[in-house]
Amino acid sequence: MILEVKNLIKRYGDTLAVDNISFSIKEGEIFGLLGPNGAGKTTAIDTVIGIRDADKGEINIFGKDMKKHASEIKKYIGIVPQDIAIYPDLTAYENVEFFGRLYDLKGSLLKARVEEVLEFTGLLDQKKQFVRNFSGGMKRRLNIACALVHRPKLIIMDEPTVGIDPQSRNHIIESVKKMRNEGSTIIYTSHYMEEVEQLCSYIAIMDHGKIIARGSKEELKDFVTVEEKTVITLDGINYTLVDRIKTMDNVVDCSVEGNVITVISKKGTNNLNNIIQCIIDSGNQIVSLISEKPDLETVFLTLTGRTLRDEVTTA
Amino acid sequence: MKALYIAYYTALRKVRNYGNLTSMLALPIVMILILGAALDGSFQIENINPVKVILVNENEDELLQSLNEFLKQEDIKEIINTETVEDFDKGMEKIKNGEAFALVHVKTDNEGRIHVYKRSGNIFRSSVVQSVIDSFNQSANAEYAYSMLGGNDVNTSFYDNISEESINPDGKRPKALDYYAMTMLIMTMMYGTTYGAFSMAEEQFYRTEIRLKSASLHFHEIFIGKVAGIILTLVIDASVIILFTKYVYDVNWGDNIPFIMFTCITLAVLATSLGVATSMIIGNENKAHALLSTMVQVLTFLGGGYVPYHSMSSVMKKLSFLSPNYLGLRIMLNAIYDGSQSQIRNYMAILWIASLSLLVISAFRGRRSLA
Repeated sequence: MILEVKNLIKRYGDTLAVDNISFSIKEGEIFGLLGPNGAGKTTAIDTVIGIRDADKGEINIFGKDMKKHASEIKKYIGIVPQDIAIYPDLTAYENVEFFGRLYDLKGSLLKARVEEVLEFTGLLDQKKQFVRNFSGGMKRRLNIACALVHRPKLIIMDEPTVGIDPQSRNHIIESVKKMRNEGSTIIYTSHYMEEVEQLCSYIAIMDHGKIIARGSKEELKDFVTVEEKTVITLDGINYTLVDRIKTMDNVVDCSVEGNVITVISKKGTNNLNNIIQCIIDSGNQIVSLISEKPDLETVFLTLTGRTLRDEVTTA
Repeated sequence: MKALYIAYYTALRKVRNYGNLTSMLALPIVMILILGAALDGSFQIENINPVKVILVNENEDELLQSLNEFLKQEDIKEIINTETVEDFDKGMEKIKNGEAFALVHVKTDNEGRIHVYKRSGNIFRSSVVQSVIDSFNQSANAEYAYSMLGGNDVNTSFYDNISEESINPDGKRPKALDYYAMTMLIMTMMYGTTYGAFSMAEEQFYRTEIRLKSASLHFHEIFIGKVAGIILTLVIDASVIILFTKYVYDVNWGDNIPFIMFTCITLAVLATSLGVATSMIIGNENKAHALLSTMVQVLTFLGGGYVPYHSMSSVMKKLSFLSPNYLGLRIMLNAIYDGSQSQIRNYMAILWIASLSLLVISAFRGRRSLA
């Protein structure tokens, strides 16, 4: 295991920010920490890497106790903070160079590494530009470059795509995939379930300081007990068709509103083909069709009764 | 080594911050020109002819004879022209008639008090007479103390123990531009307090604190690096001001520019440590910044930054000792115009002791709040 956390507790006064969480990460794994803002993800991460002191719990990184070997362990960790942590009055090159020097890089090795991470994040052409002139997306990418310059064994990415344009987001997602393919071990926190679903091999869902569920994507979706929903818009409604669908195997319910039929099927029955065939047989034309399968958003909704997005807007 | 990198990049960022640079360089350079031109008259002094003084020589009193002998010394005669009269009233008459500027009368009571009567209206002449009489008193007191301690060396001179300060043998004296170049340079160094106040907080502002903390760095490396970076910035600012004023305004910085730079470093260390300590004690960098900005102006004023020290009232002169600006100014004046070496040493020691004390306080406070 690269990282093992046992019974971690962190309080701020009377508030229990991290409530007795335990998790472990294997080498080469991308571990997703999913949860709404204020769930305790950042506090948990900061505590794990020694930026904040834990009130209780054990943290072992690279097989060593973080409390006793923090200085040595930190050399092999790269952090991409949630907030953009770079200096506006330095160029992109100087920013990466400075943080590289803090990890004892120097000379030609430092130069090569700086160029390498700037290229990796697509900023090599802008290396001499002052960061104060960068867009939000470019700053986010530089934020990542600064964390990678010393080739850390464990990379922590805390909400790396917050508040940026789709193009930069795609670039960051692709970069993480590339790192995954190269065998990097990454902790990826986000409140965007699509990102976590897309990138992470193992996921823990946090809420109110606790890990409320964990597992692979598929394992987490198994938590969901709801059925599969298919919403079909037709050119006209034939009530005989509705009755036929209702009597089909594995269909739980079928309702009509205007020209839209909503069919609820039992989970995992893959009933879509049968429904489509039934419509074609009845002589109706399908205008549009939406098949909704459970995702991590649904998982979170099922577990907490709230959506991730709602939490984001009310946080 | 990492502290050096932090220092270098801190200075690089400060120098590139054009807003800061303008206020730290353009402002003093313009102020030197304005104050130097506007207050040039305050630095014009009249030709020093010996001041005519009447000494009432009415008896054979030992103190009176000593004073008479003192006033007849060659050095004293260059600045005071003494005429002896035997009657107090006759002497006062000469004063009233404008034949002399002051009258010195030794009372023949047990206390041996020396009374000086001066015509009003000429501060400079008045101060010359007062200084000479004070010097005599000091030497007489020293002689008395020596005899009380059992000293009996007849060759011992008590007039040599009078220290001469800031009187250049070549007759050089600071012009208004020279004076204000020094005071504005010192003010710029003291504005380093505001850099100091933000030194640690700026890492929180830029969110880079998390990177410094997550790197394998010790607190002392961050602290030393940040403080050294600000001192380096201030030294760069000082170099620009000195070079600009030397070659554009023809300001006299003396022959020992490295020593002037060392004085700037001393003041930069003091200002930075004062800024860091204030910020950490108050716990809010914005409040500390507001306080320090005001304080720098007050200290500059007290230190003779706007109104020349020699034009201040006696109360203000006493208050000046509270201002590091005054100490810095005296060090520079003494260094440039061949003044008192002991004063340079003493004031330098005061500044370094204060700086190091503040740095120790800051380091302890900082470790507790940032660790």
